[in-house]
Amino acid sequence: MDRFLNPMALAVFLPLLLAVAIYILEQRSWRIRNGLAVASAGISFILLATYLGDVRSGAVIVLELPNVLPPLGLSFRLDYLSMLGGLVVTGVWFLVSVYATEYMIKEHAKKRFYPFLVLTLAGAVGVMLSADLFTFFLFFELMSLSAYVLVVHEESPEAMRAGYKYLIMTIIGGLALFFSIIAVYEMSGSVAFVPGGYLTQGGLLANLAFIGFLVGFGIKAGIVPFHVWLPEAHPVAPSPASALLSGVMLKTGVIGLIRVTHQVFTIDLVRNSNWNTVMLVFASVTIVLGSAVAITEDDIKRRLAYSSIGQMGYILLGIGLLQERAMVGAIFHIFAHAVMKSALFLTAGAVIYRKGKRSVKDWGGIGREMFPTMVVFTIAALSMIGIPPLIGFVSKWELSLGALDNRGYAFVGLLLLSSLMNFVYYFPIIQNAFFGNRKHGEKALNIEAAPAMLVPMIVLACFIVFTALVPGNFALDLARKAAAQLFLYK
Amino acid sequence: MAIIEKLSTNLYYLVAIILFIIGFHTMLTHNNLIKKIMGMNIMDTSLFLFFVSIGYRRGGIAPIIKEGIVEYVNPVPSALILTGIVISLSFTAFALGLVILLYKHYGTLDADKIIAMRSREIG
Amino acid sequence: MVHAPVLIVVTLLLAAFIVPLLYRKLPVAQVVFLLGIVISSIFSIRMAFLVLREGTLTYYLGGWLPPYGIEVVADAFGAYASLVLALISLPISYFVVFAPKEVNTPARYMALILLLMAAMQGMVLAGDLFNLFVFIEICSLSAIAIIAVKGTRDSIEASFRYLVLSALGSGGILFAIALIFMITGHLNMGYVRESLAVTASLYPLNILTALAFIFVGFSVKAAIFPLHVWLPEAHSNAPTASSALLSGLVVKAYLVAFIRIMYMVIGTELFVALPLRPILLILAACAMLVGSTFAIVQNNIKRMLAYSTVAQMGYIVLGLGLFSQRALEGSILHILNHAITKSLLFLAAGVIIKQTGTNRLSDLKGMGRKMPFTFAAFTVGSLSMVGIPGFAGFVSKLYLALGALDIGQIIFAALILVSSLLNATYYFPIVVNAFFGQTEATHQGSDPRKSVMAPLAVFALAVVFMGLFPSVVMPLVRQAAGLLQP
Repeated sequence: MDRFLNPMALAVFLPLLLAVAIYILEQRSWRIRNGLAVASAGISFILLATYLGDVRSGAVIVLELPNVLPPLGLSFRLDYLSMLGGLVVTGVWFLVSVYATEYMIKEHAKKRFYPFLVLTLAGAVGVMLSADLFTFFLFFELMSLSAYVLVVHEESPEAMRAGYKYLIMTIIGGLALFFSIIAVYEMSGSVAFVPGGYLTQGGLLANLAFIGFLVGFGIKAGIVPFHVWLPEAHPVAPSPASALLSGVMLKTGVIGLIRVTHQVFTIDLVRNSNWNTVMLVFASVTIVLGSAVAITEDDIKRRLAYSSIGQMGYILLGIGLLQERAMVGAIFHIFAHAVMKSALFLTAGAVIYRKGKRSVKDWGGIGREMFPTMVVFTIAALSMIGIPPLIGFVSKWELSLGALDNRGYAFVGLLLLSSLMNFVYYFPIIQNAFFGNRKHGEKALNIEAAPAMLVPMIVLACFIVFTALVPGNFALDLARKAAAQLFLYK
Repeated sequence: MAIIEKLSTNLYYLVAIILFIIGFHTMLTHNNLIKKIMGMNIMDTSLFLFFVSIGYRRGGIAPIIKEGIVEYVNPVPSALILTGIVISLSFTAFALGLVILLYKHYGTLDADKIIAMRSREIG
Repeated sequence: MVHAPVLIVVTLLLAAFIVPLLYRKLPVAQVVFLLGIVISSIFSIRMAFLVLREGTLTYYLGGWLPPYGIEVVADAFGAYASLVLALISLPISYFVVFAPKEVNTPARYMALILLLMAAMQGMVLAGDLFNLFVFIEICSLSAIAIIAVKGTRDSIEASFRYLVLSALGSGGILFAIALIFMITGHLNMGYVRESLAVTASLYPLNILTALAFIFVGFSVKAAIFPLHVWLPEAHSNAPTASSALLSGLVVKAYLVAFIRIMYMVIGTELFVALPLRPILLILAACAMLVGSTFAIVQNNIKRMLAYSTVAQMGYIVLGLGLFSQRALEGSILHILNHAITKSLLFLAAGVIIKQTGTNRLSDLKGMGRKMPFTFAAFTVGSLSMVGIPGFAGFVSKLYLALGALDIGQIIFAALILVSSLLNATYYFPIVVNAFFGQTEATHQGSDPRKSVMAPLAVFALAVVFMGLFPSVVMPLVRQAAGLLQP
């Protein structure tokens, strides 16, 4: 039993239990429900944070439950990467949950929303902390399927359509992963994540396994051409859910890819089989296409969703370069993009909540009416574009340096082009919001978002501004160490 | 000549197989439900014949040991077939019961007509 | 001598004779019915533990030794099958007693179920071929009867069709037994096997013909593609509990008998020497694809579930054809997992039909909000069928896919994935439409009272439990798979 009473096991399983508790208790009072929903993420965050010191000093905390689901069993591990991932997931989740308690007041079916919100959290935490592919897969599916309920929350015909697409893509992705995992198990007799990797032998099955991983994780991460569900599913979800889908859940896909390419396959195998080239091609297409389509979208949430696709391309680029510096950028961008995109979706949600305006063309003058909200939006957008010293700049900087080390000048150009495109689709919104005019005949309504919504946004904005400024940047530190660990064995 | 000899020694088997095919054919191809059941009975009977003839010895008697008799019939198949007959009987009775119910519901014993009636209702 | 193996069957038979006598006192009959099932289940569980600890149990009826006496053999495989039958029958019997009546003659219905259970238990434990045949016949007859007992036109038509095909199958099996008896002179499985090792090469025609008839006979009974045609009608027109029993247990009991004859009587050597494995693999692949495809186009919930059974039987057959240790484990495990899941789904479907008065899938939109618990149970079953990790169906798929890769058959591992996707395309829309969407429910309906929901809850929990802790039954499964593959 003591295995279940250590903080790490609690961090994984507590949300699972709380999801059930919330479902049972919510008949009693909505206060308990909201409190528990916020607490579940908060407690997990604190539990994980207790390990931060140990992990930063190089300790690896392991938890194994071999009796669940033989022959593979469950196992969890806290290393640099899972520490960063776990903190990002729980931290962002906590802030978004606080935001949701206010935002969801207007929505229906809250009885369903909160338990599934926490269930999805349980899945996401489990994914980040898992120490083998099988555990990863188990929680990945839990997260993906629970998130379906968040996607279709509105239950409008568009939401149902988007949800159906999401569901089918999720299942295809899950099956692709399933195939790859058993292929790995077949080839090596193990599915653990081992530093340095253990699959050295190429061949048909290995190639199929890699394709399976690319498809499975690519679908989740929104890599073109597996992204088709994303621009439909993210906008139709309620804004807090969109923030989590875009900010947190996409990252599980890339975490999986990082783990697979470094801790299952060896780097040599990835390089010799030219899988890194494949990833780079996908990454380039994703970056260009995501940003380009974002320019053409008028609906703010669709624009943000396409922007997410482009940003995931950055991370895939960092993975595909197979280079330590670039990996630092990729891992740091997991943190950076989670914070920035959640902030953007939350601000967009606040505007939609107060004004009901989804089209960016109607956002004229909003900056004057909802000043703090739009400041947060501006900070996040500038960070997206890559203005120093915001965190978006840091990841791009590291990525570019990594690309240069590999003489990948083209990729640096790609990053610059993408920044330019980011500028093209974010800047007009900001300009219009602060300096544009309201539509003719519309009255000014100075209603700022409620504190429960505003505070999480401001906290996120603080992270965007100060993470790179304060000394001892924990995220960058963890990213560096994680990347160093990944490349230790090359 | 050889073939005729072969046939005559295996006559029971041959007849059993022919009966089996007749029963099988009747069961599958006839539309009349009663004939289907008759086909089922013919098929079962052919199997009983087959089974019993496995144990049969020409000139043999029931296996009660007597002086001077060396040829006995193998009693096991016969004993088994008694059970088989009971099973076949209960199957027949049950099938006939179902046929009566079907006739009550549809007013016909023709399988094709029953299917036609059903598909008309669904369509 | 341990009496458990024979007591399992005897208890059920005894109860089957007592229950119809008590038709005037229904509560007493119900008590006897439940007692019969519970006691025989206890014997069955006890036997499973004994077998696990001490190896194969044999019982000689009346103390007569084979080859003259009748032998009851409880090896790991038989004990496992018996355990599955016992465990699944418990909640279903509870459902029979406590759910709203669908049958006008409940005492007779309960007697038939007892008879069916006795026959199935006998079938998986029988040690000689002729007793196996007798139990097969009892099983066929009572299986047909528990469909016809509903009394509607469709159910009688379906049961008649089932009867005709079933009789064909029985004929084939009896013919095959006769052929085997002809060349070996034995009916006891152990002796037949020993004798076949010598005589099979002397009479190759006999043994080939026998194999063909066994194959066809059991294909009909166990609804192996393409002889599954009777199944959708029969399973969808039966009373709820019957559907669950038929889809969950009856087809599997036949399959267990088939496996026993093929692998343990005919013998693995012959089985491997003949091109039976490719045939099984192709049939399994067709079953998985065709069954699922037909299930997609159904609008009747129970017929959809019945076609899904055809596809799922394909999984079990696939493992038999793949024939690697892990694939066999997957097959044997899927016998249990599918039994739990399909029983759950059929019971849930029965409750849904009863409460809403419609069996059309298109009418179930939005009903999840009115009957949340029933549909939650249905959802659990669906997730298991699709093979979502954490649910029972996933574990068997995992073993099957690993088994396929073990012998380098990537294509069959891929087939399992495709089939899972097909499963998702017909199970998930039901769940999604029931819970989500703006369409208002067109039918009345609500969750039934708790006593009716209890079996569903038990099955749903069992699905999750088996999904997370399959290690509970794995020792027995591993032993059973080891028996099939010496």
